[in-house]
Amino acid sequence: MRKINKSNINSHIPVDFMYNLPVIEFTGNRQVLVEGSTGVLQYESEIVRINTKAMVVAFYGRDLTLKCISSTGVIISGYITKTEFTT
Amino acid sequence: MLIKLIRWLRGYVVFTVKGRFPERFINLLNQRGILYWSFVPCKDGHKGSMSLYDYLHIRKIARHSHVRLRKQKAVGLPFFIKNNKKRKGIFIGGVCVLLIMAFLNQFIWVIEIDGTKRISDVQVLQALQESGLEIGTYKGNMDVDTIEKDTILRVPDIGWMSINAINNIAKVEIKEKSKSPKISKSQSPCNLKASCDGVITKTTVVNGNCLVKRGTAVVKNQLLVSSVVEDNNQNLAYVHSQGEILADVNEEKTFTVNLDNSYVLDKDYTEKSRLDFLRFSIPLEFSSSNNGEKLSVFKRYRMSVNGVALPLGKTLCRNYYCNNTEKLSEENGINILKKKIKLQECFEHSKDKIKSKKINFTQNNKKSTAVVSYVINKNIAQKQKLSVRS
Repeated sequence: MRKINKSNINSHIPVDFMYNLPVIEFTGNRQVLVEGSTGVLQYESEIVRINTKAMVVAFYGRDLTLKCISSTGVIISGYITKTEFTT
Repeated sequence: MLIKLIRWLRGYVVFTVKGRFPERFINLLNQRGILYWSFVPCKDGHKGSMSLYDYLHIRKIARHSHVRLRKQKAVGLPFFIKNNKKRKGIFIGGVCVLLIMAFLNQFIWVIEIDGTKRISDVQVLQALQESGLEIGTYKGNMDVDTIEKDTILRVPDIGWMSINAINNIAKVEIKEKSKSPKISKSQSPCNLKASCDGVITKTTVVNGNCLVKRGTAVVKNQLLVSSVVEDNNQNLAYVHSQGEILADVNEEKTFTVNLDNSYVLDKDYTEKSRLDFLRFSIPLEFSSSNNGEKLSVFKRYRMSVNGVALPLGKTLCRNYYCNNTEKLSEENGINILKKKIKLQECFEHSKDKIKSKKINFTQNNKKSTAVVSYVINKNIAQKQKLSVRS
């Protein structure tokens, strides 16, 4: 059986699709959109931890609130001071 | 705003979530597609809002996620009805308001006229009233086509009109007839002569031979445009001279007021107010009437809320009685003279341009006199027919 050359595939397929990575979009440090979330793991005013397929993303800050939640995305607003990725 | 209103109509609950896994509670709500809002962390837990129907169906989710729900506040129409079940007056009042609104909605509250320039709104309103449209007209009986046709017949200057009854407002759009330009039918030869002394500022000659130019000083009866014209073949011809010759003219007018005469006083009057509701008018005061001739001035006020006119209003009638007369003071005499001057300018010089004006007031022999010196820019061309003598 012929082996698939991964490097060729990598050049054509988007990285987020290939590795199930979340798409994170920041608006300054006031708002962040996480696309590809599978659930909320921790929700406090200082820390919000979001589960995705590939990793857990944690946002640290002040007055953090979940502005909007759907089955695949989350919008967090507040003053974000730190972001942490746990794979 | 609309979302808030819908939420209030449906009723919603503000609740707190306390327990071990509030995050799981959120995830389960998302999975079930249950809508919630304003979900924020607070002291010892979280706080959020949810519709009444959904709140009654999330007990199982709360149990699964080991959280305890506490209702903090219930907001909305269902709760208001529940709390005020015994107060039947509120509901009867609400129904009455709705019925009154539905009833009043069947009538015209306001008539708005748009597009009038030469025709006065009062004239149009009067014609509309005679045709069957006025404040308080029942919308069901309103035949718009007939009213439009009748009004056009009553006011000949209206070229086209349309009446749109939107809610309680009758919007009347009018296009006036355009006036046809004056064409002189007479073709008999005539000259243009100066009607008074002046200095020419502009000449516009349509027909004839212009003999003056800008800056020329002319005297009364001087020939301005001659009717004798020479064509290319050097033949002489007589034409009907037409044109406009503008000139700066000095004019002096004298106005007098006799201070001995008696005048109607402004300060002695009686007032009566009436409450207007649609086409009905209810007197609010019953003051005794003063005998004698009187001059009545009406002022109408309309109530409006946020720019929306209501069918309620007030009419103030001020009666000035002619038997309460007084001799004029010097100051009042001057005021009357000023008014006279303004009126004269409005009517006599409406088409002319007043370049400068000087007023001299004098008082002598119980008379107040004003001498006004004007410099007016006006058309001084005056037609004069040619006469043939044998």
